[in-house]
Amino acid sequence: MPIETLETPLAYQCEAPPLSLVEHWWEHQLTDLLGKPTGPLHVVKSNSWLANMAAQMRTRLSNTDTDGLDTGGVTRAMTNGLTPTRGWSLQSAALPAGQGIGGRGILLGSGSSPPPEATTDFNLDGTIGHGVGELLFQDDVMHPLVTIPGGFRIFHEKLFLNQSGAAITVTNVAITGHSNVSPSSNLFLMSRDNITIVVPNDSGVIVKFREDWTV
Amino acid sequence: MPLFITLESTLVDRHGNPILAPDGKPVDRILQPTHSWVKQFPAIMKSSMQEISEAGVFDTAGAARTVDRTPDPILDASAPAGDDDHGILVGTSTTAPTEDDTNLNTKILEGTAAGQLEHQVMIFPALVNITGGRRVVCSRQFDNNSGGSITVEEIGMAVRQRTTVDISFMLILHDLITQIIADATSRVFTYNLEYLV
Repeated sequence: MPIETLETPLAYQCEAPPLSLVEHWWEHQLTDLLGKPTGPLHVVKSNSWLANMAAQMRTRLSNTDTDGLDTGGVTRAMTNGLTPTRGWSLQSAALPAGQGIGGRGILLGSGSSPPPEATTDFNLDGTIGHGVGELLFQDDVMHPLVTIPGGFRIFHEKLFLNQSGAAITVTNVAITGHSNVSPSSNLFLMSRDNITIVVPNDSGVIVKFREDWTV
Repeated sequence: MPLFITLESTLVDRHGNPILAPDGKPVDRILQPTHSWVKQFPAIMKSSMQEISEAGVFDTAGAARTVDRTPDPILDASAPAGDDDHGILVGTSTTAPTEDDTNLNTKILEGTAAGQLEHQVMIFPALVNITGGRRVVCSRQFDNNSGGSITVEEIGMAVRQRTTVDISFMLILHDLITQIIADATSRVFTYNLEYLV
């Protein structure tokens, strides 16, 4: 099998240092079962936009199909022209216990969590499901666009409740979006990072994804 | 890692091929980091992520619009040849861009009259595999048949975007770049969006 020689990112070829104009952070904080914070706020720099994010951006900008890797590991052509339009759609409503894994928005995993890999990651490592014995997913909540010095902030959060009877250790966190593929839509992992959070029984954790656009 | 964006400018022949020196390298190519998102870009992204409309977003005419997340077009920069409303656009103003910009300050119009450039079709090659991620490439060739030299000082990218009242043109990127395009020559400008782990 030929070994592919990858190009060096152009950002590292500029004479001036590369500028990060869109930066991402994860925030997490333990809560009670009502979502009221009970512990300190932790802020962790996110390291990953995966290839699916680039694929969806090309799909939109170019108005042409672009292959992505869905959460089942299957290559699918993200597409335009379908109604309703689904691009990076993250919104996910709380589900009754036992109705699957919640599917999209902020999701958590409990596996061994190898380092994120842009082009081969397609799902969380050890996806934690939604339901009794696992975590109860609440609504994904997107806050209004916030003005910050030099730019704007997108802020997305989700509360997970643990009533499983035992502590649950989260090892990786991710963003999963719904994107159009012909003839409907599929789920695609957009970002994944390794973060350890121990969620005690009868408590919750609120996980936030923060995206700062600055100039 | 975050998203990096860079801007390239390359002297090309009329077929879009870089003009090469004897050593095989382009005779006139620059590569620089960009500096300027404008507010419409995160606003459209938020609308699409949240699956909800987003009010108070301005089109290139400066009119406030409410961005809708469906149906298409969403962030469509695929401008055809001759279109100076969206895709990569260039201008002559040296005013520093700001995050509140809604259009280029002094846009160069499509045509062959004095001070005008011919806009070719937007090109989006397949995603490029790069170390640690993927690159989205957005390019456009500009031909100068105006009879005189034109100095490009500003560049941006605008998209066709669904709103609650129409399909608007909205600026999403705006940068400064100084490039002289002599009469009867062509230049390709490229925005590279690099998503890295």
